Amino acid sequence: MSYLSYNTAEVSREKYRKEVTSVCPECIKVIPAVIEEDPDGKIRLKKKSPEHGEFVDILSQHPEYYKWSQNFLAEGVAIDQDKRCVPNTEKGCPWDCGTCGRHKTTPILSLIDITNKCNLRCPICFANAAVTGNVVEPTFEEVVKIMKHLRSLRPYSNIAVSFSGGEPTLRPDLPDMIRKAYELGFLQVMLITNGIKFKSLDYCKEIKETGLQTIYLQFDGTTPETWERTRGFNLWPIKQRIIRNLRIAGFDSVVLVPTIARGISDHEVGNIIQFAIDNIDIVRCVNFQPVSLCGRIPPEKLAEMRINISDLIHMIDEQTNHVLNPNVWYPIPVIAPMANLITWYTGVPGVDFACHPDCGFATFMVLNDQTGELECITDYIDIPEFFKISNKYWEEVSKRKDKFHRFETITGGLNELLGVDIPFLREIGKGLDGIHERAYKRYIMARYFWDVLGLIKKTGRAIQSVSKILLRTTWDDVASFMYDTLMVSCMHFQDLYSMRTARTERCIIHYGVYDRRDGKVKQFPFCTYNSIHRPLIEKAIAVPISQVDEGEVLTMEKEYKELEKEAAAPLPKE
Amino acid sequence: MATEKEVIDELYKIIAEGANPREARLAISKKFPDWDDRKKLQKIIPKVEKMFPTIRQTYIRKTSYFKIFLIGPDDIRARGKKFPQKY
Repeated sequence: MSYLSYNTAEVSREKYRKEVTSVCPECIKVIPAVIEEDPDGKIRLKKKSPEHGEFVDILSQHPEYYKWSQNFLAEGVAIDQDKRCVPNTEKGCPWDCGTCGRHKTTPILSLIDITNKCNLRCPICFANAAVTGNVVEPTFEEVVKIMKHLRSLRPYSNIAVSFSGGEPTLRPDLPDMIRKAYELGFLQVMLITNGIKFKSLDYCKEIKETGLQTIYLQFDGTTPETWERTRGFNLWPIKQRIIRNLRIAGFDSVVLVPTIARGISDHEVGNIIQFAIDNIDIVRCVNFQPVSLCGRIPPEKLAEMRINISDLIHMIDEQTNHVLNPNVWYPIPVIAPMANLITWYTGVPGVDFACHPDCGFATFMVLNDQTGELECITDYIDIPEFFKISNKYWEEVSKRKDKFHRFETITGGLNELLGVDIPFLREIGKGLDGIHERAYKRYIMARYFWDVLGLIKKTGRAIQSVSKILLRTTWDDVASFMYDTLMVSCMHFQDLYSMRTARTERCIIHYGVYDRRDGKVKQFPFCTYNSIHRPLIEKAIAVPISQVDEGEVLTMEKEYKELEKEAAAPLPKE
Repeated sequence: MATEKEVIDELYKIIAEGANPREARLAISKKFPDWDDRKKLQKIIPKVEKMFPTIRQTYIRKTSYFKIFLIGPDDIRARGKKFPQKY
């Protein structure tokens, strides 16, 4: 049986082969690489470093899925050149980050690491202050500078920001940062956290009062053993309590973020989805993240440890009784043309989902509250055709969207011809241009909606929500769609073994960083920052832990010890 | 036979403690088996809702809490099937 039953028509029968650019995992020099389908039916990334030899990484176990997914390459909306820190590329991607003149997209989400301090000591983490011996924290003023830069991006200013770390809740000024983010105009503010501080209901309420919308909660599994392996001790009862506290405090948007490591938490994907379904009133999304590999790894070990998108799709298929089978998943850029159309129509700076198809995939599950049935969005609508139609209209609009100044030009010309400046004439021109633009927008959206109607497989709650989005076309409607659904997704971040510049150039999740070396705010694609640039940037602001206030260090250690003790204690009776 | 007030008070207490809709339904069905009935529960929901402050009522509606609660503890099925595992 074909891996993807109803989309194979669009999959080329030829063996896949593409020449790309990558980096040497040892010296990080830019080197040529090739992605090709091997006789054993796997898609591999092969590269040879002149100094360090050959490296092979498996990108997909399923060439059909891989080839099919490459169809979904949407055209991005690039950041204006004057907003890039490194407009002239010299060393090439990924070394000219900041972003450089070659970057093809605008970030949908920017992360700001506000501390590397952490109240956990996870065996799989190598970046926290306790391990590195250095504390890295931007000042409040530097964080504000970063946020102002992100808001100033054009044509799409950044509308979503996430505070991360280390553990961001260890910063006492976090509530002020969240408030400042809203004050600066961010529409969506998120927190990437292990949630430990949220075991205090008072802290939940304090953060809720800032207006924070979304909590990205570290969530590796649903059994004590898994937590012991990933985080060093049993956090499962604490995580359950955190979810309850978030509900009591009034949070309604929690994203469960499981790190999936082979042999450690890969058996938990079904359980985690089930847990999300049970808490579907406040859990909006499960975002699986296969663990990134770092350090020197022997080839056979690399193949053994690597979890790629196709592996994860198969794990989910098996562990959900084939409910979420391979046919329900789509690469993230599927949504890009529709998001661009909404942005253009509303005039509100939007989001650009035109990342590389290998960056991630997603599906939506919709709860039918009458039958108790969870259905997939693919049960309702023909997704590949939806992508094609959206892309068709976005291309049509792209060609014309900046050409609504005809009347203004004519009336301006008339003023010049008469040798006078009659403001009234100019206003008439502007008014007519406005009417023309509004009429054109409605004309396009009406045709778009009509074409989408033809793709509906069955009606129901999901279609009502999609119709609302297309008819009223507001970001609020897009947000309300999320309340009717559970999104299941995967972000497959790159490491030095899997890195390709073609992906990096399309990255839509950036780190916002204040570089003290030159006093500039820079943006780095997520994967290049973590794999390459982070140590270089952090070196400039790192303070040895011995120089940090002793009381602060002791508090960190005390909190950790208390947590360890609490986790070891017997469960309280319900 | 439990009285309506007893069920309302119990449901209010469970929700106030942060239980998810499935847990809440399971607890009610276990404690008051004669109340494991969608129609009967539907009638008391507005009364339970009113016991919460206005801001909490809005939150409960926004998260479709009671719609999910009414589905039943074990009846959420995904595309006609149940998942094989249970944490």
